[in-house]
Parts: sequence; structure tokens; C-alpha cells
Amino acid sequence: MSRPRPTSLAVLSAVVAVLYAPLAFLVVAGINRNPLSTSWQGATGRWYRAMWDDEALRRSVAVSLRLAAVTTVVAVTAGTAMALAMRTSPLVQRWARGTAGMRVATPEIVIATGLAAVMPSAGVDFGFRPMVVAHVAYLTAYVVLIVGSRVATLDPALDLAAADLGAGPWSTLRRVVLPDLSPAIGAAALLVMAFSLDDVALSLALRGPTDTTLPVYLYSVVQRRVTPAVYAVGTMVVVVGAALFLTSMALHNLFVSTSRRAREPRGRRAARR
Amino acid sequence: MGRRVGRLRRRLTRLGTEGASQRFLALPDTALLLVAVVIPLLFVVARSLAQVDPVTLEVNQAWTWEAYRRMLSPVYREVLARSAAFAAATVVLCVAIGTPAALAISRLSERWRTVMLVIVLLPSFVNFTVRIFAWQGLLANGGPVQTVFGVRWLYQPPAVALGMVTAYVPLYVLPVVAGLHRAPPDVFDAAADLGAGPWRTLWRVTLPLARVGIATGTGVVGVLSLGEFVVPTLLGGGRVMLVGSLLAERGAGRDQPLAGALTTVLLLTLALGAALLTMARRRVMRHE
Repeated sequence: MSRPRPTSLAVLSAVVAVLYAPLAFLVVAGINRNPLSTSWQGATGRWYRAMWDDEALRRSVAVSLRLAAVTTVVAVTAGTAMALAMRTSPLVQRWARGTAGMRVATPEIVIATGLAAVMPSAGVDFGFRPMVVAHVAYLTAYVVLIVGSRVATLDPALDLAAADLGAGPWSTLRRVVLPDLSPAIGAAALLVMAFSLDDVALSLALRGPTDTTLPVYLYSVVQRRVTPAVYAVGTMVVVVGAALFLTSMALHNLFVSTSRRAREPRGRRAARR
Repeated sequence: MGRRVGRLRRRLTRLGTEGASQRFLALPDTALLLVAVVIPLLFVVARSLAQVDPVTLEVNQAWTWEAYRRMLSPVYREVLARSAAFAAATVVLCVAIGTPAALAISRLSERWRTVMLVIVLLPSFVNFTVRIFAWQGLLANGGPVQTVFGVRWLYQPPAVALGMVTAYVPLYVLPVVAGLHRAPPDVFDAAADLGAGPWRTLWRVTLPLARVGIATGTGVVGVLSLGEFVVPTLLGGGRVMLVGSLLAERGAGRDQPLAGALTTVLLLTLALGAALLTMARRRVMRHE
């Protein structure tokens, strides 16, 4: 195969530089003595202390974490269930893929507008619970797509082996299929967590008076005035986001390499050894 | 071979009878879809045909086109046109910048390709709002961008375009790389053996192979930029109003018919785009 052309390599490097510029800015501005960060004036820990002392901020972090935790548990359960149902018939498989794809292709703001419009007429109060429902309904689609793609590559021979050994469909599911899916489920869970922590549109439209999430808090604070403490928060968010993504990638790699090893015929594996 | 087919048939009948109970696992997600997405969106479409009393602000389901007429008044027409223009510009810039970047990644060795994809995707996992307000600082008066490049873009249209392109370019690159990954590497050698120069190979071999990925990436970027409201608010400073910002502002609120009309138009645009994409993809698949 040919080597990358220099022009396209230059474009790629420029893209990477532009993608990392804001992240680098946050890290530097979070410790810069100059609050506007128009120039470097030496390091200070003052903004991190200000961040720590901001009670509204701490509360919003707690709301975000609680929301992400509940959302992840419910979305992963419902999404995995849907992915498992895909095994029963091609019709269910088409339905699962279609409805998940449809949700992924709808902007969050549209789903948020819909729920916010229908809730007053249905007598539902705005607050934490509608936020959970919206996050789950939207993010379950990603679980269905990720876990579902793994379900599609399962070796049918394993089902047969389990059946031959006397396992019913439910114990096969629990003892054979689910363990095989676990890396995909883990990767999907981390993705859902990252997306839930990222969301502004759904939480902004559905929140009650007391449950502001971190992104919503930041969104409303920076519209008024950007304080250096916000850069410190941003740095923490960069670290957490990067950690979630890298763990998710490691899990995904684990599942690619295990499935490759599992699918390789035994003779070839022995020969390689 | 025959034994294998027999076994498969046995498996299918088994799942068809005993395993059929597992079909009910589809229920929770389906219920969620109905309650949180389908029913609310049908309600929104119905509301777009309602009327709002200007004095009491009461909504009356009158089945009229009034909200659509209001949507076409000069103020909102301008917002709609601007949203379409920004979405189109974002898509074009993502294709122009993302395609060469994706080609560069796809030509790397397998290990470096993975590393590079991780590098390109990682920023997307950092909170969107945080990345955008970092751009606010970068583009600010006297900030790094002005110092180095001498441009003052904050609260101007270029800042909004820049914010949207940097946010979405990774999500465009990913499907294009994935699409090229499916192509057998021999075709490039074959093109070289048949005497095609690098540019000819690019036009006649690589880009046609990348078509499906480019189409998918275009769709992803289009959807995201049509719903965008964080970027225009933070980098446009309220001076660059898009449909997303209107919805974020009015979604929970008072003028339900207008929000409904805007949402309905957005949904129809997305459905049309999705249909065109599917058709294009089918045609390409058939040719392959």
C-alpha cells in the first residue's frame, strides 16, 4: 500500500492541532495567574481553590453523576435486553436496528422539545425523573447498536453446544451469551456514561428548579461571565472524559482480540504456537 | 456441511418455540421509545397546527396553518435560511478537511491507524460545552488566536462555523476511515501496476471506494449541525441565531405552535436527508 501523501498528512496534523488547542488552553488557563489568559503570568492554584469552594458547582457535579449513574444502569439493561431479543427473529432485529438508528439520527434538541411540550399536558412535573427518562430513551439506542453488532457475530455453534449439554434458552443466555457480550456491554456502558455527562439539550429543557447538571451549569455560567475557576473545572472534565474514552477503547480492543482468537480455527492457532 | 445445515435448522426451530419467550426482551426499549420519543413528537406535530392566544397565552388546538405562516415571516425565515447555510457550510468544510485527513489515516499501518483514530476521537469525549467555551477564550480579544493569526472572530459568524467544524470533523473522519478500511489493499497496488499516477488513483479508485463513508459522515454532520445551539450561543453571542437556539429557548415554553412548526420542519428535513442517503447508499452497494 502507498504511504500517506504529504498534503493529506499536513491536513491531518492541522486537524489534530486544532482539536487539541482548546484542551491545551483549558489546562494552561486553569493555572495561569492572568484571569483572562491573554498572556502567561506564572502559575497559581487559586482557580482550583475557587472551583472547590463553589457550592453550586459541587451540587451540579453531584446531580450529573447521579443522573449518569442511573441512566447508565437503566439504558444498559434495556438496551442489552433489546439486543438479546434481536436473536429471536429477523423482524425483531430489523425493528431494533431501525428504531435505534432513528433515535441516533434525531438531534437531542428535537427529543427535548417533544418531551417538554407533552409533559405539562400529561401532568408530569419537570425535574430529575423526566431527565432520566429522556437520557435513557435517547442513549439506549447506542447500547442497542453496539451490543447488537456483537450479538450479530455470535457463533451459533455455542448455542447448539449449550443445548446439547442440556441448557434451556434462558440458562444459555445467562451462562453462555451474556459472558460473551460483556466487553461490548462494558464499552457501551462507558459510552452512555460519557454521553450522559456531556448532554446539555435534554437536561436544559427538562430540569426542575433544583437539579442543574454540570453542563447546564457551565452553559448558563459562561453565558454571563467566564471565570478562571471554570477553566479549572474544564481541565477536570478533560481528564475524566479522556479516561472514560481510553477505558472504553481498551475494553473494545479486548473484545476484538478475544473474538478473533475465538473464531480462529484451533489447528491454525496450534500451528502458530 | 449437510450436518451443519441440519443443526442450524434445528437451532432456528428451537429458538422459534422455546426461545420465542425472549422476544419480550424487546418490550422495555420499545415502551421507552413510544413514551419518550414517538408520542411526544406526534404531540409536537399536532401542536404545530394549534393556535396561541396572544393575551392569555392559552394554546387552542384549532388545526390551522397559522404557526407555519408565522414561521415564514421575515424574522424566522432568516433564521431558517441561516441555519441551512451554517449546516451546509459545516458539511462542506468537514468534507474538504476531513476527507484528506481520513485518507492519511487510512494509509497508515494498522497499529498507527488505531493510535491516530484514538487521538482524533479523544477530544469528542470531552464535554462539548467545555470545549466550546475554551474556544471562547482562545478567540477572545487579545487571546491566543488574535495574537497569532490577527483575526477577531469571537461573536462573528466565522467563530460559529469554526466551533461547529472542529466539533464535528472527528465524527466525519470515523465513518470515512471505516469505509476505506473495507477496501482490499490490493486495489491500490493494482492501480499502480496498471500505470495510474497518484492523482488518478485518488480520483478513480480511492474516492469511489470512500463514497459510502463520505455519505454517512455527511449525514452525521448534517444532523448534528441542524440541531446545534451551544455553539451559536457561546461563540455567536446571541448575534447568530439558529433554529436550535430558537428551540432551546422556546422548547419548554410559551409559543408551543411555533416550536412545533420548527420541530416539524426539522424532522421532515432529516427524514428527507435520511431517505436520500439510503437511496445513494443502495445505489453504491449495487454497483459494488
